[in-house]
Amino acid sequence: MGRVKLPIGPQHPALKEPENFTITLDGEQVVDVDIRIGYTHRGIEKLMESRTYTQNLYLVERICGICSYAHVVNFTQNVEDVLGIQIPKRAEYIRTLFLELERLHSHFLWLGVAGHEIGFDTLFMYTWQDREVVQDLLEMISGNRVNYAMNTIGGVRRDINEEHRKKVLEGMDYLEKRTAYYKEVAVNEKTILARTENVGILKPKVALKYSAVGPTVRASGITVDIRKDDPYASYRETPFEVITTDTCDVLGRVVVRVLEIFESIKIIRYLMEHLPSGEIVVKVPRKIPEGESISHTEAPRGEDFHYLRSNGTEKPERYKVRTPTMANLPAIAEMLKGAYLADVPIVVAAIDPCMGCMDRVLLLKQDSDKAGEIIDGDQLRAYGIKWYAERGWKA
Amino acid sequence: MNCGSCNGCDIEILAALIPRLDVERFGVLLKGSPRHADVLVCTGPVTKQMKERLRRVYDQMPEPKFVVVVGQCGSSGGIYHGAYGVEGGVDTVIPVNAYIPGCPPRPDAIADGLIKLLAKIDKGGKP
Amino acid sequence: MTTTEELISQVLQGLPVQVKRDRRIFIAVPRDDLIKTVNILSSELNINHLSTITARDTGKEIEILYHFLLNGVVITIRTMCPKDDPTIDSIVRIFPGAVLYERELNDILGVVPKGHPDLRRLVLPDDWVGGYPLRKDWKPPQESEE
Repeated sequence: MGRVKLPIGPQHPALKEPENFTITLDGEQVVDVDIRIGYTHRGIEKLMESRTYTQNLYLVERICGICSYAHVVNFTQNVEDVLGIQIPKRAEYIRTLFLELERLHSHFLWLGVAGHEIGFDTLFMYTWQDREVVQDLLEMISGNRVNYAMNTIGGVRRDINEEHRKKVLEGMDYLEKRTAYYKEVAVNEKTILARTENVGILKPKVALKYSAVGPTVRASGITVDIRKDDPYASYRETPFEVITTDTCDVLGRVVVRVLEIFESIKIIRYLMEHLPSGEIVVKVPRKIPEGESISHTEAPRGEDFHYLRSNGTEKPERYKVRTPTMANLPAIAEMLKGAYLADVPIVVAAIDPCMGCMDRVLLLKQDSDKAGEIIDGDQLRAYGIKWYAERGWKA
Repeated sequence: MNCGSCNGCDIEILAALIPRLDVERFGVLLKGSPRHADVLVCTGPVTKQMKERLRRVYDQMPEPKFVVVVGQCGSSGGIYHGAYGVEGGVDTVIPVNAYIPGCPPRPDAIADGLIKLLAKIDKGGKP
Repeated sequence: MTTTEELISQVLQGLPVQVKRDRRIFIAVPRDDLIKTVNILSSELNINHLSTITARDTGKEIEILYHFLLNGVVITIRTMCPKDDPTIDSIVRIFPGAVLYERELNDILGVVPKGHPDLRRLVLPDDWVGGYPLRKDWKPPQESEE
């Protein structure tokens, strides 16, 4: 086949943000990867400089629709830090509840997406059906399934009542049973194993070298989790384990996320059983004094890092956001080297990108600048499924 | 087609496909290529980087074709209005037949909008 | 103070360190000392995680912040470069994870990391001719006949 350059991207019909990988192939194996992002670059950081802190609450939420709450917590924590205020304990607990509910919905979402990538659409349907339990809880308390508008500077805007508390605990019981089932499937189902075991290897040295984050590095045995390392909200009090495995492959990333679901359920149960009484918000001034602050959280995908520089007015001087997926992009390039083309969809999906999976594939012959055949994302996915089916693995 | 969205709308569109709502029973099928599609569902404010690609995808669709915009951002740029990376709503680039507002709209609202559009098409008018 | 913070203050003795609050340490160094300081963090403290690089137009200069993480402690190196010579040494050889963050600096603020292997656009569109949006004196390009 010779060396072929394969631009992949930049849009997928229904999922997530677009990005563009240009892959150099030697036969069917990836030799080099080049990444181009920016298709969803909206200019949010600059926009934040011309909006008040209150307006920015809603903008920050919409940096990403899946881990939106992690962003809002970082934002409010930064402002609260500059103000030098402590929010009430009950507010901390409610924030932590939402942070963990978000992790749940995100990990179930991801299991479904991963299933879809390897042709396991039944898994997609099952996990997303279960995910609806989380969506209903989020909507019950906050009023919305996505973009919960729960935070304000100084605390949270809505409280939890006894009925909510009971329903959350019931939801956890149900999800725990379902996750036990997924755990069985993940480690025993032959097709999943064939598609994920020893695929997308990321050795710990490489993960650290490129400053990667989240479940992606925890599957390479690296024990890093901001909730434990630099606790925020209620994480100093809630008992939970940092989940790692050391298989360094996509299967490891599946296992880490499934086990993290159990830990989230543990945390949520603790929060609901020990919810302190009291206020949910403290009053804060409109103008934020001059200062700077750093806040980072362990979003479902890894470390989400925010920096605030304030200037004494009601608008921020500078706001910087570094999402976890950006931190994992250099590591992806390393993971894809040596991988088969058929594995590209699942390896990319395994970092749980909050920016696209690929869709359009353009085959370019090395010695001509004319574009060759156009294959769409469904066909690349199907190529992967067929490639494995020819070797004896069918979903 | 994600034209620059935060994914909120995209996820709710997918949530309309799962058994709980299952828009497939209304005859709505998700296709991977614009060449096989009758309806283009767009999310997100159109970023400057995506503008040409959106036009190209629209041009690749065979007639008759329809465009549905899901969410505030696609309708008007939404909360990103004024951001330097954003071109504007989808209708600044291609003609739009239906708008489903929300941030994001619930899966039921998305299904409702799609069904209304399909009903209008069935009746024979161009919506 | 955690044991990590104790270790850090030992190693960074003599440098202009500012402890903002627990687990937030800032070191301000002149541009020419950047590589030397980054090397200290890497070799003497065994830091391997770079969270990100932030840059800000202060009016006369561009302030660049390198945020590192060690056991939950965020150590930030603060340095400045003049706007009429917005160059800085690339730290990619010590921290390969900086590769995209330095590209972003270049894209939206016009800071040039000397020695960076690949300074193509990262987040702005390929056909962008509008200057550096995150500069304070940036004006949006004139709207064409639309």
